[in-house]
Amino acid sequence: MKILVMGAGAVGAYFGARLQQAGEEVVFGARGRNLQAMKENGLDLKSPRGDFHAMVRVTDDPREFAPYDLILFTVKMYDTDVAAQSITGCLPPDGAILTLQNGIESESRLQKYFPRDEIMAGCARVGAELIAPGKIVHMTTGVIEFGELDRRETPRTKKIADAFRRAGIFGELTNDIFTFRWSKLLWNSAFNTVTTLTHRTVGGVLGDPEGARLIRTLMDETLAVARADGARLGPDRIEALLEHSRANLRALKTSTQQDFDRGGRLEYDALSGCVVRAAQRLGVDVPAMRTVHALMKLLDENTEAMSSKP
Amino acid sequence: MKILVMGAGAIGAFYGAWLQRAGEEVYYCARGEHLRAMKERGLAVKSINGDFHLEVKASSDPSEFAPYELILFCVKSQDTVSAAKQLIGCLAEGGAVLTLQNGVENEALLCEVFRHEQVMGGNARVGAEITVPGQLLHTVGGNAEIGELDGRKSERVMRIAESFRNAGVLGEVTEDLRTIRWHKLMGNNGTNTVCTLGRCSVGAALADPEGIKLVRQLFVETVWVGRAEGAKLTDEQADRQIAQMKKYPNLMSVRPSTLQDYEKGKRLEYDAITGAILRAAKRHGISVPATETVHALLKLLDAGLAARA
Repeated sequence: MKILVMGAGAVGAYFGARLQQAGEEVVFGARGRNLQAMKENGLDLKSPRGDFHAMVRVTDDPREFAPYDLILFTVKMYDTDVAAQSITGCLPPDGAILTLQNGIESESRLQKYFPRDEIMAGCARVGAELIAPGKIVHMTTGVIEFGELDRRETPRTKKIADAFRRAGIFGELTNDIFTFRWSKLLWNSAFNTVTTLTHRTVGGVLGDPEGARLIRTLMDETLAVARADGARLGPDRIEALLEHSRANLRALKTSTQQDFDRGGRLEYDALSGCVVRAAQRLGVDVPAMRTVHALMKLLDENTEAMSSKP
Repeated sequence: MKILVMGAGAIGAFYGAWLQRAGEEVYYCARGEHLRAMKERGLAVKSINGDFHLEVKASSDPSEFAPYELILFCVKSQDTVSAAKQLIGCLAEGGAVLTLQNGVENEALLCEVFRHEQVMGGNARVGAEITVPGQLLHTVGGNAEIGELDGRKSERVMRIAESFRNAGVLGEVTEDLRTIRWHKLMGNNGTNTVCTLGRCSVGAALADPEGIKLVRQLFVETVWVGRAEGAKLTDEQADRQIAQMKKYPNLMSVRPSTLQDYEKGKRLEYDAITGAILRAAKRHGISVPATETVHALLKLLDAGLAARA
């Protein structure tokens, strides 16, 4: 399968590397120093599941190698429009763009550029970090859950599932991807925001009684919104996430925190912003999430000036 | 009047400098680099009202020049008890300790060390910053509101007021300390919290539509709790305060003390602000979700700083 990984950050680079390793024909869409490094030195992945180092096909103009059977759309939400514009016309008649972006708003944003039946929805479960241009450290999990927007099982879902299985990144083929997305959002919208605002690890936050209570409040609020939006999630999901976080994620630095430390733009709007907007649409009150959202917005606006990003 | 500034940080140094310039006999209690700089080079003041320089008498030991007729108590609230204990025996007969600290709980703490009639309270309505040791930057305001705990317009409070008036920094003598303290706390709960967590000036916080909404929410939550505690505050005061702040000429450079402390890697004065409101809210069964959220965030941020120190 010929695959474009649009956005070679930690998430995109990890899945792209595993697909290339399994023999798929992968092209990476990247920019700036990351593009330069990958062109010159290839992609370097350190992982408990085995390292990977190889030259890769990488470009800042994905039309160069089009068409693609599959586009994995892995850019940050704030880059959605620019990235989508650069890949219109890159899909053959039966091709698909599978978005792995955070939040629940990616599909509707992409519908401005692609017909609805070309869009598929996925959820990336991977703990990885881009430690330097072209260098990825993989820490935990590493699978994709995905499905069609109309919930059907189609020939292409099967073909993609087979490719993912061969690459060891198959999570689940689901007819209810939005429940997965909300489940991920349940964690991200609480932990990514709180760890970034306080410079604490997941374990540091949970080790403080007020911190643990705030996380739970944020998760309760998000769960209420998710359920109002039709997600099949119950309070047991929160318990499971907290349990998992305490047991396995204590030392984790969230991706938003990594962005902050690098002086990069913060992907908060796809997390807290997404919850706040959905809450407003559905008439659910989320006072704690509104508070952290406003603070993340200020933090992003006011650290942007000092940052070194392009 | 012989005055000790206990804690010559931004607020203490500001009132000390203004009172000294007006002819009062002022001593400064400070620590570390700032003390050394003031002893060697005096205090350099950069102010919206004009720059000046003062030779100052500074010490790390408040008893060195005791007794004092007035002690301006300006340490961070987390240091209240330890600083107060250092001051035992430093007050002249009839003298007073006047706290200009943030929060609404410091008067009661001081009353555990001093006799009730020795303690006075007030608000420092000033934006200032120790930019480097020995240098004070004054960005906005300056007036102090002061009063006796029982609200009497005593001979003593009028005398102190006269000194502040001569120095050009008297706001008012209040007969309702509780109300003005909660009013100040409202400002702190909106701006010290949001600006520290958002790493931004007051101007930047108010310029953002979500930022101003959050500041207002925190103001209003403070009003609810303050009212239950007996302060005469109304919801409209939250809007009036925002309107008033927007009139500051240099709003984009006004940075609350807690943000200054964060940037210097110092411990954060959050418990006297958000903690005090949460404790009172709990007593009255009032829900204050935004305050609760910023409190938890500041607690986590502060504990992280402490671990690194």
